[in-house]
Amino acid sequence: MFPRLFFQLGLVLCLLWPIGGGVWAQTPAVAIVYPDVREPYRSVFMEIARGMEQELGKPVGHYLLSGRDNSAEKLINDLKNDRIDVVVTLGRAGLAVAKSVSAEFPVVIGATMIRPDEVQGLAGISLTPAPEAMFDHLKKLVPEVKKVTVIYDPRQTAWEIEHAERAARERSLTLVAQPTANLHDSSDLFRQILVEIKDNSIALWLPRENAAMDEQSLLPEVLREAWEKNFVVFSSNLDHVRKGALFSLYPDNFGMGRSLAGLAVQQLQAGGKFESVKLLQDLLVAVNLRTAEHLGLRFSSQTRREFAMVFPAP
Amino acid sequence: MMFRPLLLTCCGCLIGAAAQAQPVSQEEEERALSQIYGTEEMVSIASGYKQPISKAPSIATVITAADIKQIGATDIDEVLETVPGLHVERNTIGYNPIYTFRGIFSQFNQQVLMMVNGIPITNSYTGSRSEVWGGMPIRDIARIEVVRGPGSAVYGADAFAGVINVITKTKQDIEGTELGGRVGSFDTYDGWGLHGGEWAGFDVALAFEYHKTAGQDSIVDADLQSQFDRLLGTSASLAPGPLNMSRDNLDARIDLSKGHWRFRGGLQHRSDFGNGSGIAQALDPVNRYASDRWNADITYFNNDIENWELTSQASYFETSQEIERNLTLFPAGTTLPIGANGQIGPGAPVTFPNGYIGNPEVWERHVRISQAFAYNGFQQHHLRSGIGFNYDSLFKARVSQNFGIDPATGTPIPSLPGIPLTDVSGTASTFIPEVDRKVAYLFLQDQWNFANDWSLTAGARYDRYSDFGNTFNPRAALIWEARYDLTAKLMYGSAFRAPSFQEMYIINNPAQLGNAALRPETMENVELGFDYRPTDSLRLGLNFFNFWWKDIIRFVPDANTTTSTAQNAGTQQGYGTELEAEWQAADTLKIVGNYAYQRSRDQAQDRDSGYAPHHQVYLRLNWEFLPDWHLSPQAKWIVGRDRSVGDTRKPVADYTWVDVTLRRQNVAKHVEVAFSVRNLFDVSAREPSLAGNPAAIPNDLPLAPRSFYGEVSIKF
Repeated sequence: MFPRLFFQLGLVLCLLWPIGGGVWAQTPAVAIVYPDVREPYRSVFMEIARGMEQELGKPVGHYLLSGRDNSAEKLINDLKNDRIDVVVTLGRAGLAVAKSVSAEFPVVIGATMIRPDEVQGLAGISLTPAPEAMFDHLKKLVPEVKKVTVIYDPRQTAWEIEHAERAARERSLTLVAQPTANLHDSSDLFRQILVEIKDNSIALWLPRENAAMDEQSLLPEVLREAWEKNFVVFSSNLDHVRKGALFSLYPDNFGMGRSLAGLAVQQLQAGGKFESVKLLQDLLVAVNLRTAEHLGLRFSSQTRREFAMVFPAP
Repeated sequence: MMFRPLLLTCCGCLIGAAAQAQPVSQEEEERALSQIYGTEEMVSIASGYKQPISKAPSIATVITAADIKQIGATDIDEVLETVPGLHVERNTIGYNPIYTFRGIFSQFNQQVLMMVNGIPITNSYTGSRSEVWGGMPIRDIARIEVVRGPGSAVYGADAFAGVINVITKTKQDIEGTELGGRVGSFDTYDGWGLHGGEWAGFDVALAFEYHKTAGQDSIVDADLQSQFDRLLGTSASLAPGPLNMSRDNLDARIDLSKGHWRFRGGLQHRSDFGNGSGIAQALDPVNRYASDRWNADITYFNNDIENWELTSQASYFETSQEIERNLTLFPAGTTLPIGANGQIGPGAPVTFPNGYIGNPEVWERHVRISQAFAYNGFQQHHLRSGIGFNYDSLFKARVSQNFGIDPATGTPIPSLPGIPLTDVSGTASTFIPEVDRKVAYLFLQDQWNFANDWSLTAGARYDRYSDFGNTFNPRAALIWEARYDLTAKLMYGSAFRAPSFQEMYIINNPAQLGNAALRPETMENVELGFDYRPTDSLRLGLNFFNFWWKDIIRFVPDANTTTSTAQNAGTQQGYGTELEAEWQAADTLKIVGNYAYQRSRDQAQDRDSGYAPHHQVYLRLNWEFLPDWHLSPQAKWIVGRDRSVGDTRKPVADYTWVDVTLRRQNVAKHVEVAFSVRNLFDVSAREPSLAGNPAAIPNDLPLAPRSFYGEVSIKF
């Protein structure tokens, strides 16, 4: 009943907008296309939508992908009927329709992890935290770190690592990136690294994807070893901070919405069209204070205030 | 916002589209999002769907709204029963809960501080939550924080055996609108509506909860009137007869916040309140109590100033205890010996055709202002300090009765039918004068991180009471982060329990008299605790405690009369251990359990203090056996309840209480339904009645038989 109500409301708004005239020449009509998911996942998309609306200063059109009808043309027709100027897709399902929609509309992809080769010619912001931001926070929290070691799966993370190497150089950090093909190899690599690390001049970066990390057995071993040897582990996965990694960056959904809206507007500007994938810069920091205190790290209250989430000592 | 639910599969629309276009199921989509955050729990927190963990203080037990759903609770008592070392016993008066922490039992449960959003809801007349408590509904609760052991160094009076802080939902916790209803056994009908949104730049949360029930109707076999009947050859007792547990409750709350400011207001309205097994332990189907509890606070919080956190708060709380229908202490036809003062006492037997009726009513208001500071500018020290002032006033007392002395004539009030009750309010014959109490306090605490992995927290609070004087309560905690997966804590704490107005000022009572010279009860507690996380999915907690409870306030019989006067008389010493475990056995299966053991001795009598169980075991499973289908069975074993001094009855029988809740979430995305059975095996469970020889209610206080509840809610 409620989606139906919104639908009617949406329809009225769609019909009214062109009558307003003039305004939309400056602020385009932006649609978001996203899959039908349960809470709390749904809140991620809703927060992004709120950020977009804040940036645009007007409502965006919501188009829900639910699995009951199978007509792509219907989506495109609806977008056309509603006089949409630019489309932002969210999530994996959004990404899956992006290509079809891009034949008719400028498209921006968001709220999913994307490699540039997946979406050639399209613009988007990947959910993957930008390594620059990761390293900036690392330097801020633990200035002693000189070297960062990462074990990664080249099938998923290669382009991100290239990006990271550049970012590390710019910050006078040495990035030692070791590719791994499977869990078994990565376990051996990790164990070797754990033997080599002696102090907190070397930090261990746990990337996001599962292929390089066995969460059940290897992760606790790495975190225990880090505790005993007093070295820093940071992660691209928020949950690792709860388990004992020093910090992680996670998406600022509202901020991401604003950036996506900015990119959407840019797609309509003459000569402004962006055709690549950015890594996420709209990030919040989560810190494990128990780990920080164990490492003897002391933060100013200014730094503490920047922590969006802290995990307390048990 | 325009909203178009596009009926489209990604699969279909991609016919002929790019190679990467594969159908994406809802599960895949959610898994992809979980990958960036780690778990669904983390998505909840990061998307603001739930309060961040950082907001939860690191204290003994935090029960969230999600836990409450698994417990299948409809009232806060059912939630608190799951806390290790806490057993909810029953007062004969209204079957009000007695939150018995670690063997610390008293009829009015003044040794537990209960707060809503950090503000006490204590009524000074009884020193507890009021005789017309009537329970607390759970839909507007975001979480409950329970501290076991004393905390007066932080919270002041009555943070003695334990502290219960109920945090209500804010806009962020509700986010949208929820409407729901429940029906259940004993003619129970509940309804609720919650809304969280924005209005004129304010974050707004509104909650409305309604509860009506005839109440459980277990039979009390014999009561105090049965004894009188035997002695005097009358037959006035209504026992065997059912408990009187009707309730008609309305709870409404508002929460507004903007920037540094937050305003909260609330009402707990109670009416048609049946008094359980009787105020005087004699069944009373006539009486109905009522109560209105209004609260409001305005809070200013600022941490924008470098290294400083400031919290300023002003709050108001008004609470009443009112009579809707005559409080019939002893039933119609009772014959009692009445003394020259018109009260029960040595004298000729008098028959009361309408019963022995006394209708005491009280109204109180409490005003509190406080200012707290935190300073984090030192590398190794976190300082907290604060000052505050409380004004507690019993500003109106009213009573009408058919016994005692008529102040107009100076003669005993007649008890004949047709003669109205005599209003003795504000006269020498009243039951309590209008009194007040002023409290000023100051506290200071330092958390000193003197080495990596070591911290020492030391603090103290000084309270100055206008009636009984000063009290000073220190505490200290040494915490050692021993290993990656192990934390150890050694703690010392002290506490005081302020005498209630009833204990200090009650007069003209046939049995009990107040004593204005009372001192507060005191408590000292030493505790050793461990928190061990052997794997990511298993958390274990273990502690050992030892406490000394002194200057216990008791009514001690006076010489050559039938009355007793409140005195600081008694010492209790106790020790015990609590073990708790939380295990995520599989993605879809979580097991929570705890075991608590305690022994408490009355020092003067050198025997068990009675009432509280020596052993408690609790076990709960939450199994998501199909997506969105949750089955949560739980069991609690209550074992070993000795009798207290002067009670020759056999120990209270042990019992095993089992509940099951089945919940289906996300029906058509917005709807949730649940079905619960409480006391699944219909065991005859009883809580101890008050001691006596013979005991007034010899066969103890029966708990509800098997009962059923079904609920449905819609969120949009």
